[in-house]
Amino acid sequence: MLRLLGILFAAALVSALIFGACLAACGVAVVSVVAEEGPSFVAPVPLMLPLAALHLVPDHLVDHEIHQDMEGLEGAAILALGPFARALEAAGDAELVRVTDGEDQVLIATEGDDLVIRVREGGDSGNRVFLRTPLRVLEDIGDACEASGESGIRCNPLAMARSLLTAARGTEIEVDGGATRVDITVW
Amino acid sequence: MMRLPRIAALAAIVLGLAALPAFGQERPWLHVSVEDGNDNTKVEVNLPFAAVEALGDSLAEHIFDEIEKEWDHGADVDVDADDLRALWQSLRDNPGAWVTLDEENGGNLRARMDGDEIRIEGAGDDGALDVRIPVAFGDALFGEEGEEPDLAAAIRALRDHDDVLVSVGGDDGRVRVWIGPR
Repeated sequence: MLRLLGILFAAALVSALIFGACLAACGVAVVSVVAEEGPSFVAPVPLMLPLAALHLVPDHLVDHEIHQDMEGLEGAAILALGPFARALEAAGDAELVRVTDGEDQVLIATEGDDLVIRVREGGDSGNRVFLRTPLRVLEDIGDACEASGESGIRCNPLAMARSLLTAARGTEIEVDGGATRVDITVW
Repeated sequence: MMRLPRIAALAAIVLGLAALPAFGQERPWLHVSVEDGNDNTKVEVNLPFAAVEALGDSLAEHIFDEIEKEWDHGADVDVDADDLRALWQSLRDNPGAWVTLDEENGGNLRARMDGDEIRIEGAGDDGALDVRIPVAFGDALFGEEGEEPDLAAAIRALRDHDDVLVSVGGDDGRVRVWIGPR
């Protein structure tokens, strides 16, 4: 009996260690919702779950590439994302776009290796949106595609999804609508 | 034997002096500023020129395709690429001489080659127009007769411009595009 309990305890300990290692390696998204009225909650979402699901996709689907016959300009814009993002990263911290319309403001900047977007609507007490995400997310989107023919592009959506889930670590999203605030952080 | 360290030291100094301009030379940026005086709206865009070149390399060919589609669908444009190439060559062949660009509309728009720039000036209800295009831009864009326009090469030719490209506007608003330091 004791031996059986010992085996079960050891198995549980090893499983917890493996789970923790996967969590650390694959990352976790923490979603926090704080509302003035109604329930507030915090939910951690291990990224290993969608990653594990991707690994369960049959090989013939993993190798299948979607040939997007997009309009030439749209496809070219996606292909340009990689070199564009790398050039932004090399240039260092900078304010890229500032749009001011009365009390409303949109600010897009690079800070370190991240792309940062700040939106303010209705002045200091109004709605706010904040997004910080690694520039490599843009790089991975662009690098997962390649030119095909004269006007098409060929993308590997599963490779893109895998890269995004990995590259998105460090992403922060905050939406503050006054009565409700939503925070998402990817560790 | 004592000469070798002195030669090495001299070579190091020469190499260091040669590298000084590179250290002092900041990479260019593309700046765009749009102000609407009527509703207090302002848009500012700043992009490292390397990023602009990356966009140009990927999008240039497709931008021309879109322009041709607009022309083919009867947009209000009565010039084509050959007309623009001929105009450019006329400006190059007659440096300093003003060429009127809109004779049918009163002749408020004119251009001339001024040193290493093509200057386009005009005035109208929306304010004053001042465009300065490096000659290298047009030469790269139009290339030799019979060649396809190369917008990507033309964009790269703007890298060393370090001046205003476009300035248009008046009391109601203004648009400025220029290349310069960060």
